[in-house]
Amino acid sequence: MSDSPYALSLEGVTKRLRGRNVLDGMTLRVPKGETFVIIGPSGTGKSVTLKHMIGLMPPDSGRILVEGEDITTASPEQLDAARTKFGVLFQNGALLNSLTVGENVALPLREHTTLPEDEIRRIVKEKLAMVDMAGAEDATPDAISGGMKKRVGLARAIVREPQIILYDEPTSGLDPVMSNVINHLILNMKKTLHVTSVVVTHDMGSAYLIADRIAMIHHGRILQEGTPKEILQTKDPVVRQFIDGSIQGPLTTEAA
Amino acid sequence: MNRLIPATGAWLLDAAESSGYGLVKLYESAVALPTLKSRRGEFLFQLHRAGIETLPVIVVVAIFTGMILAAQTGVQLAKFQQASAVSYLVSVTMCREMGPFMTGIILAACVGSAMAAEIGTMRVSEEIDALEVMSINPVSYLLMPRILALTLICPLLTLFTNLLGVAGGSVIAVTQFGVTFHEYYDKALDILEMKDLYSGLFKSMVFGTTIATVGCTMGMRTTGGAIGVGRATLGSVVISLLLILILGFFMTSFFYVR
Repeated sequence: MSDSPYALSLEGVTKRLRGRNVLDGMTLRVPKGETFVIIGPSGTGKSVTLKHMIGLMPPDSGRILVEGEDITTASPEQLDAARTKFGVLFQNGALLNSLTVGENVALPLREHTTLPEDEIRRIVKEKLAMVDMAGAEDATPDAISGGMKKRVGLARAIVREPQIILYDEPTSGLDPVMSNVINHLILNMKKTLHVTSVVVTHDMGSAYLIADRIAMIHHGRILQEGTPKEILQTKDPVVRQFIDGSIQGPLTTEAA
Repeated sequence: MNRLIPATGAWLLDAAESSGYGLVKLYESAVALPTLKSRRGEFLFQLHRAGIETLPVIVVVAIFTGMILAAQTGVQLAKFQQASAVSYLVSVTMCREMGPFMTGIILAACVGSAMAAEIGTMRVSEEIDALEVMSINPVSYLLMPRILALTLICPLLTLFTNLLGVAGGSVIAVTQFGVTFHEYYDKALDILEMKDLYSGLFKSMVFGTTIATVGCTMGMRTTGGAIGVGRATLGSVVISLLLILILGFFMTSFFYVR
């Protein structure tokens, strides 16, 4: 275990995509064991930030530290080792369509462990039960709803018992009941698995419910960071407009 | 002009980048060959998909290609009372050129395009990102089994196309030009040299590798949702067909032009 108090840190990260600075000196630190929620308007680099955290995108400059270890200069093998600390829930679950639900959840175990098949089946069953998808092993991804896909994606993300879970828009496209189910699953993961979570979302209701800290991204860097209470009491006009969802304000003036 | 030059430059840069990416992935697939044992399920599935599912099209195309060759050459040869020589032309043309070429075209249209569409869809739906996050190398998991399967199956299908093409030609030679079956097959076997066979099979092996590499590259580089998948699929067919023609010419020159 590293001495760093942070599970994840981005230090002055820049990334230019299609002629635009999507990340422009982004610095953020995610304390161990906390749920850190990243909010911000569409296209401001939230998902790009998430992809940098797990090494799916290399930064143009700056450093990314996972439990104090710099992954920006890591070899592919070191990056693979760092990734074992992560579980990721992608926006639409990203289940492999050619596999069943059970095979999807079992995939990381079959690829990286020598566990016997009985044990793998037991773990899959247990993880599916944790996300209220017990008995769905034989279903195919195209036969289940969006909310179910996210839950199966979460089961796959936690199957190797990661220390950090990244959630990309976990409640987008879901009805309010299913959104709440996902929110409570995120809270449950923190309580039962004691993981650090980073959640990218637009959903302020979800952010207030699950976050220990909230950070708002604007123009490729953190505009404000604080507890849900501090964010709710913000005086910053941009953050204020975003969290209130007002039509009038600096965000709409910029967009025009 | 102000727009044309930057647009051409951007297109050339993209083409060079895609070619480089494809070559790197081909190399990485070769390096990933030792993982074949753990990917045998996917490899066998790809063999089945390329080898069995394309058979009906291959049968029809091969027979009719042989029949067209026999009909066209037979009409001309009959003018010189040399109709029996149709067998020479059909067998040599099928084995050297038309067999590999027709098989390549069918695989590019049926299999290469499907690879681009499938991998492209996986790319835009973040399935490939998910593989990487799970520390599963997409090259070993997706690309290597596809490229190897097509590299191996293309020569086998070409052999089948050659046989069917020659057989198709015989139907026309016998029914339209009065050549006997015996005479047709004797002459076909007589004219064929080992070089005709192996040069054609070598070509088809290169075509198989090319089609799969192009399909996988286009899929892996897909961006932009459903439209991007459509573009990648179309691009894989067009690029594969162009490469089949260009590489085919150079290989023919290498084997036959002195």
